[in-house]
Amino acid sequence: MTDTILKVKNVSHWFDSNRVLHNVNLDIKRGQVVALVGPSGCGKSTLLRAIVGTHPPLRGEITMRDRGEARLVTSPGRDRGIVYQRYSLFPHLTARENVAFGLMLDETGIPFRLFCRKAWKKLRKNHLEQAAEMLEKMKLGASLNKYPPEMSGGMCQRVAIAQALIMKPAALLLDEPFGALDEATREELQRILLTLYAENQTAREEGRDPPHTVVIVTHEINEAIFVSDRVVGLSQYWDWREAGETSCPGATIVYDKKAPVFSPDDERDFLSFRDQKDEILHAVFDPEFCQSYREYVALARTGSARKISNRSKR
Amino acid sequence: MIGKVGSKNANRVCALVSIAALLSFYTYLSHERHRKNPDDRTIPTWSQLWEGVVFLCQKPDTEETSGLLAAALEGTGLEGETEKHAGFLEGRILWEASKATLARLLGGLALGLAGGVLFGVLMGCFPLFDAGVSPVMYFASRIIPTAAMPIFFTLAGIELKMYLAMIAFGSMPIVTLTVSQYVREFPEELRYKAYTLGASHAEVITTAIFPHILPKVIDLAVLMIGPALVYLIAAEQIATGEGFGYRIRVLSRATRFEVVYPLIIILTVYAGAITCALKALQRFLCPWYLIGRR
Ligand SMILES: Nc1ncnc2c1ncn2[C@@H]1O[C@H](COP(=O)(O)OP(=O)(O)OP(=O)(O)O)[C@@H](O)[C@H]1O
Ligand SMILES: [Mg+2]
Repeated sequence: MTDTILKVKNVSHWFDSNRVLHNVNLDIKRGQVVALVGPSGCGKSTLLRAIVGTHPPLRGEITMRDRGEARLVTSPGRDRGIVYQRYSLFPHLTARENVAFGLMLDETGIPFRLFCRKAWKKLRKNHLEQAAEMLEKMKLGASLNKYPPEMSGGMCQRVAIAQALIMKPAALLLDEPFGALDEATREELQRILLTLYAENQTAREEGRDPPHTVVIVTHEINEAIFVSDRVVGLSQYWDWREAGETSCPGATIVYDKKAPVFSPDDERDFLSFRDQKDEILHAVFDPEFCQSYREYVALARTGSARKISNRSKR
Repeated sequence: MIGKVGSKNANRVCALVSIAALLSFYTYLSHERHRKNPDDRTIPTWSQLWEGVVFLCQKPDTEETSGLLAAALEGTGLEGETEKHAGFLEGRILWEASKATLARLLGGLALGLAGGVLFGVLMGCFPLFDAGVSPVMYFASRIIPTAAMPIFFTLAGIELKMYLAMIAFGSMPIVTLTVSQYVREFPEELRYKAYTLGASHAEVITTAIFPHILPKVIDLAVLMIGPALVYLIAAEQIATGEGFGYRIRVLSRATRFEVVYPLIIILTVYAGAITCALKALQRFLCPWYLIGRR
């Protein structure tokens, strides 16, 4: 049940002389909700793009294993859902059509849709029903037939999450999904992620595989700790001089610890995890602090957890 | 305040006032003209214009049109070629000219747009194809179709296919370049997203990119009506055959301006009607596009 779904191995990436990622190693297990934090421009999006497969890393490899063989990631595929901050929805489709879009693309092809019109019509009806159900779950039952420009930013992001989730992806990837939203809307959406984690818990209790594995990129540390059960810090501030480099070779993982788990209706109390926030600020965001990158990596990449502090069970 | 939108009725009144002003100015002009020279035909009175419209819509009187034709051909060196213009003597002028001109215009535009969208989408999607084709398209888009007209006449005669080819070649390079730009502006995030939802390359083009650029392509079609009409009318005025350009030339030579004015106005109305039809099509096919800019 703790099998690795996503494995990032020795990944480095650079743009000409701008070295962005250096030897990034990350194992993500089924059912984890991982928050990826780091200073602006450290390469969070670059790492996520590599995982999505749109921009494979220049060195190292990323593999996905969702039941069966591990597959090397070289291009985007339907096993990884993605939600971006902007352009999260197709503007020419209504909320419901946007959610049904993936079902259509996944289950049918152009010849089928062109030449088996009757069967396609029937299937389409079923897709739209599934999509409506999914949107009800996201509390968007009243906006099924709205186009993206008619919806607020928060509603659009909820539709986008539904659009990705309906595909039952092995990993759901989110790149600053709530970055453009106001604080109240942000909290609503954070609670949706907590719902996903709660569904994982229920599945675990019932002895099933947890259905959702999530990686969320954010620059908001409170958000990271609140929604995730594991916070990973990516930063260019580490002891690269000790590694014999004369200039920064790029960001690497300098922080990797469990985070407290909240249930969807828990109060959101930032004070309760202020210590961890300060620790992350220090370890990841402080340019003056260039200690060994292993210091705050509690969940070692091999999986043999070297726990420095365990704050997850409250 | 600047930019403040007025009420609907106020807008209508303003429009009516300016149209009324234009019409009264014309009435005054033709009245003055006819006071000085009662036989004037260059600025016809309203009753003369009405006669012109009737002339356009009625089956022609063979004698009258033969006279017209003789007057039109006089001094052009083509006096002996009346039989070439036999079409002039049959059928209602407006009906025949409309059929010919609209078939050429719509057919040529449809061909130019279809080719332009095909090439434009391919150029936008495949940079290598773009690298190969775009220099040719840039060059072709700079060619002035009316300058190349004699070549078209020589190669394809004066039949329908010549007009179609001319309008299609005249509009396709611009359409191609513009559409390829539209495709490049398609947000990469949406492209990636389509792939993560299981789309094939063909599906990314047909279900994500194409619907997204369709409303802009329709706007582009509206814009292309103007240039297409310029090429078409210029060609019709040179070639001998049927169509608005040809009728206008012949009737102007015979100083039948009471017929020429209605012809020009009807042609304008046609262009306006096509624009309205395309806009309606856009509203019908792409309701989302207008929501975004309300
Ligand atoms: N396509 C590109 N070409 C060249 N340089 C790039 C490209 N994409 C990103 N970079 C550079 O890579 C570095 C990391 O960028 P990235 O977008 O991954 O940062 P980020 O951590 O997501 O930042 P933010 O928090 O601002 O989103 C930056 O220095 C950026 O300038
Ligand atoms: Mg980013």
